[in-house]
Parts: sequence; C-alpha cells; structure tokens
Amino acid sequence: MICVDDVSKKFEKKISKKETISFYADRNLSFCLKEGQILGILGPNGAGKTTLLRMLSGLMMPSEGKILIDGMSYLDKSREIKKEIAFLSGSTKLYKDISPLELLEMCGEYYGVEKDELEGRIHDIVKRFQMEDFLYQRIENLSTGQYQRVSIARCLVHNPKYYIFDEATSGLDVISSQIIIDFIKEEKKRGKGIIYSTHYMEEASSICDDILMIHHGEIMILDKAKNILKKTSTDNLRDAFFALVSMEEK
Amino acid sequence: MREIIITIKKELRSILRDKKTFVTLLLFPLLIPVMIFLYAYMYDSEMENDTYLIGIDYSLNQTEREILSEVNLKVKNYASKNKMIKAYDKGDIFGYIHLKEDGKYVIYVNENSSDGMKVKGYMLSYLEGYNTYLSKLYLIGEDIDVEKATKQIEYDVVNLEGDNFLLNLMFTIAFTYIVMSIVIATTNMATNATAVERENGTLETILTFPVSSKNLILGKYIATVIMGFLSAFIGLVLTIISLFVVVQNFSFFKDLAYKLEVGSIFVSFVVIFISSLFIAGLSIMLTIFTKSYKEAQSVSSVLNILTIIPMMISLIGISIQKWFYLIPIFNYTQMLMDVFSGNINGEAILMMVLSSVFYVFFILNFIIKKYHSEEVLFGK
Repeated sequence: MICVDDVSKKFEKKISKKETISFYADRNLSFCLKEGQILGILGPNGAGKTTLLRMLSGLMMPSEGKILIDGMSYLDKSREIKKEIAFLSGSTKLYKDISPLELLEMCGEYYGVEKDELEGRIHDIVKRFQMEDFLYQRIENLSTGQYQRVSIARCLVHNPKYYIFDEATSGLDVISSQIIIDFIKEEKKRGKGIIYSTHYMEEASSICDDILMIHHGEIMILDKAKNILKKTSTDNLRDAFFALVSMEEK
Repeated sequence: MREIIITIKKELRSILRDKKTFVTLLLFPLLIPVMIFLYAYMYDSEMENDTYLIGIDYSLNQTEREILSEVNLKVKNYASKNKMIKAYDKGDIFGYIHLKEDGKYVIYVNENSSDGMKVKGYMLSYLEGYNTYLSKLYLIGEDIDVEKATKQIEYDVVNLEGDNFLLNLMFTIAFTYIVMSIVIATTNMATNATAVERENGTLETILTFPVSSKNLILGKYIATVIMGFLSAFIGLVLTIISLFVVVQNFSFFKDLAYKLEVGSIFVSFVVIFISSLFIAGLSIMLTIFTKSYKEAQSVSSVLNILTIIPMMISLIGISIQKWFYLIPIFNYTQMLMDVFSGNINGEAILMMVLSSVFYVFFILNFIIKKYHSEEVLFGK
C-alpha cells in the first residue's frame, strides 16, 4: 500500500538578487493506494500533480509529512522502494543510442533481476507489446507508438507492484494513448496499484477506481467518480471540477 | 559494485556509439605526432637553410674558400661595389664585402635584421679566420714560434648539464598535448554523462531506478577516467614513436638526449593514469551540476586553459621547485618531461601521486555529498 500522510512540498523562488519567496506546490496531502486500485490524480496545469508524483517516485523529498510504501520510507529504504515502483512521465526519456533489447537488459540489470529470469521476462514483454520488428533498432529510429511501447516495456522489466504515470498520454495520438490505457487496465487485473495523473478528465473517469482532484496544491476531493458527479450535481468530471472550484471560492 | 559496472558500460557504450564525439577524442592525440614532425621539420629545414649568399668584389684564394665554407657563407663575385649594391637592393644577397684600394675590407650588412646579424657574425668570422691565417704565415716568415705567439692563454669549453632548449620545447609541446587530450576526452565524456543526460531526460529515468547517487557518480567517473586514459595512452604511444622517428631522421635532433627506457615508459604510463584520475574527477565536478551541454562546455573550457600554463612556465624558463609537483595538471606535464629527460625523482613522483589521490578523494566526496537528485534535476 502507498500511504501519503499530510505531505507538503515547499519551494523557494528567487524573485530578485536579494529577495526569495517560498510557496507550497503541495499542501497537507493525505491519501492511500491499495494494490489492484487505480487512483486518478486530476487537476489543471500547475495544480501540484507532477510534484506529488515526483515525491512518490523518490525524485523529490517532501518538505513536511511522510510517504510510506509498503511501510517503508524513501529516507532509509529508497532502493527497496524503487524496486517496487515504476515511474513513467513525459520527462522520463529513453536512451536513444541503444536498441529496445539493450534498454530492457540494462533496466533489468539495474533492478537486479537475475539473468535467466530477465531473459524470460524480456521474451514475454516483447511478445506482449509486439516489439519483435524493432527490437534491435536504435530507439532514436522508432516511431512515436513504438517508442511508447518501449517506455512501458521498461517499466515492466522488474515486475513492480506499483505504477506511477504522470501525464503519460499527454501529447500522444489516439493509438499511442490507447496502448497505455490498455496496459493500465491489464495491470490492474494483475493486482497492481496504479497512480495515474492526467488533465484529460474523461480518460480518467473511464479507467480510474477513485479520483483525487487537486487545485493550488490542495486536495479538493477524493472519491469515486460517480460520487463526485453526484456531490457536484454534474454529469462529467470537467464540470465537477469547476463546480468544486466555485464552491471552494464561496 | 554491480551498479557501478552497469553505469560504466552504459556510459562507454553511449560515447562509443556517438561517432562524432568518439572520432574527435581519437583525432586529438593524432595531432601530437603532427605537431612534433612539424616542429622537427621547421628546425631541420632552418638549419639546412642557414647558409647565406654574400657578394664580394675581389677574387678568393683556396684558404679563403675553405674558411668561408666553414662559416655558412656562400659567395658570388661581382665586378664592382655598385653591382653589389644593386644585387643587395634586389634581394639577391644578404650583404657584401668590398675590398678598398688600400687593401682594407669593408663589410656592408643590415644589422637590424636577424639574418643581417647572423651574416655579420659569419663575415667577421671569415675575415678574422683569414687574418689569423695570414698572421701565422707572417710569424713563420719572421721565424717566430707560432704556437707560442698565438697561444698566450689556454681555454676549453665544457658543456654544462642543464636545460636543453630544443628537448624542452619538443617535450613541452608533446606532453602539453597529452594532458590536453585527457582534458578533451574527460570533459566530453563527463558532459555526455551528466549535462547531456540531464538535457535528454534520461537522468530523470535513471534516478527512478534503485541505484544510489554514489554508485551512479562512481560509474560515470570511472567511465570518464577510462576515456581520458585511453586518449592519453594513444597520445603517449604516438609521442614515443614520433620522438624516436625525429631523432633517427632529422639531423638537427640527432643529439637529442631523451630517455626511452622501460622504466621511463612505465613511469609515464603511471603519470597519465594518475592525471586521468584527477582530470576526470575535475571534469565530472565541473559538469555534473550544469543544466545543459552548452553550459557544461563553457564551464569545462577553463580546464583547457589550465593545461597551457605548464607550457608557458616551461617556455619562460621558471626554475622548478619541489612543491610545484603538488600542483595538479602542472605536475603531470612536468613529470612527463622529467621522465623522458632521464630525471626520474622518486620524491617528486610520490608527491604527485599522493597529492592527486588526495585531490581525487576530496573531489569525489564533495560531488557525492552535494549530489541530490532533486536539486540536480529540478534546481533548489
């Protein structure tokens, strides 16, 4: 289980040579993710979604509060936690000068997967994502769809318990986005916990068990999609979001 | 250890597949023999061309011809002084000697040019040589003991051991280029492994892997050391071969006393290994906190400038103190020069090795302590 307990993240910004201002990207966030659950993190740009997911993946540390993954904290069990997590975002890029096969082998080695096991896993992944045709090509020569398949494939190599996707479908065409969405659904069936951040609200409502809406770094609501619609008397998450914003302002 | 090895493999594979960068790294050491041969050719041809043509308006006897051939002068006979003036104005001759009617020789030469100064010296040597010859003939005619009359004092010339300008010049060029090749290889490798990785977005990917910052940095550092050493190794081998070829084939350098022994070759490889350790550490330190390729290149250009300083010191002729061997980069060039001049000094080698190991330890510790994924990726 991933548990976020009263987590805040403060940043400092230099506005002039002498003056620095501090602000919270995330403030007092608390929620949990169980295995086999898909949690959608929704919010507009600058809401604090990416900062939250970077903290969940260990790239950033919370300024306040704590994040526990299967009872472990990044402060002392970073390596153990990272073995159970796969993080995929628009800014986690792949090495262009190697082939998908070399990339999968390298990732497996970093995650400490035994050689025989790694071979078997790569074999299954290649079959699952139909990567046979471009397995030995350089990644720089792949199409966007092929690149996306390799990006997901590298998350699977170490068979993680949790997936963290940050705007993973942002900027992708329908087919490439569908690859990711289908993958998420399949992994949920396998009992994996998935945190899925997006600003495509309809996409989230179709695949997520629960929705967490963030605005200005704070949680506005955490509930099932249908409950959110009921509470806000709306028929889609977009309208629900605006309704919640106006309720908050009042 | 596993994580370090994977990182080394990853970094080396990346640089080996980047053909442009890899060729650049290999091409630089190839410049060393080119530079050595160029200088050798320049000095050799200067020596061959060091014979000057002068004009005279009188006829030479056999003795004068012999003296002239010994003083790098060739002569051309002219019918009059005016014709010599015209030939000089046209640039056919470097100067001329006019024999006046009263039997007095007059030298005409432009003392303000370097060639003119040399020609004047040669002309004086010729006339003084001839004068001595005639004086001896006179003494013999007068039945005076020539030996006694001409050797009132005795003197000898002893070649003192000291800096050999030519040897110094060749070594300074070659070894500065070797250290420079390490700098170019390591800064390129370090830039690729740090700033470029960050710019490409692959650093964010790798920092989500279960690898500690320490192992990641050590992997990148060792890969950088390997590239630096490889580049310097090629440079050193080419330098040794080039010096050997120069001594064998260029007459001007035939007396060049450089030491090409197993011991000196071994110590020189130790020196380039130690210098690769230090310069790689410095390159990583300079580039690891930069945000882009451009910034990394601009920061690491400082290292290139530092490599030229030892060459400057050597050419200026500042006497080398023991503590100089504690100054990194300077000590590597100087140590290579010492080794191939046959001045292997155990104490200096120890000072260089220990100080470098200390600096490397300090640099790596500093990087590991300061390297936090959050700051490196996203700033403070």
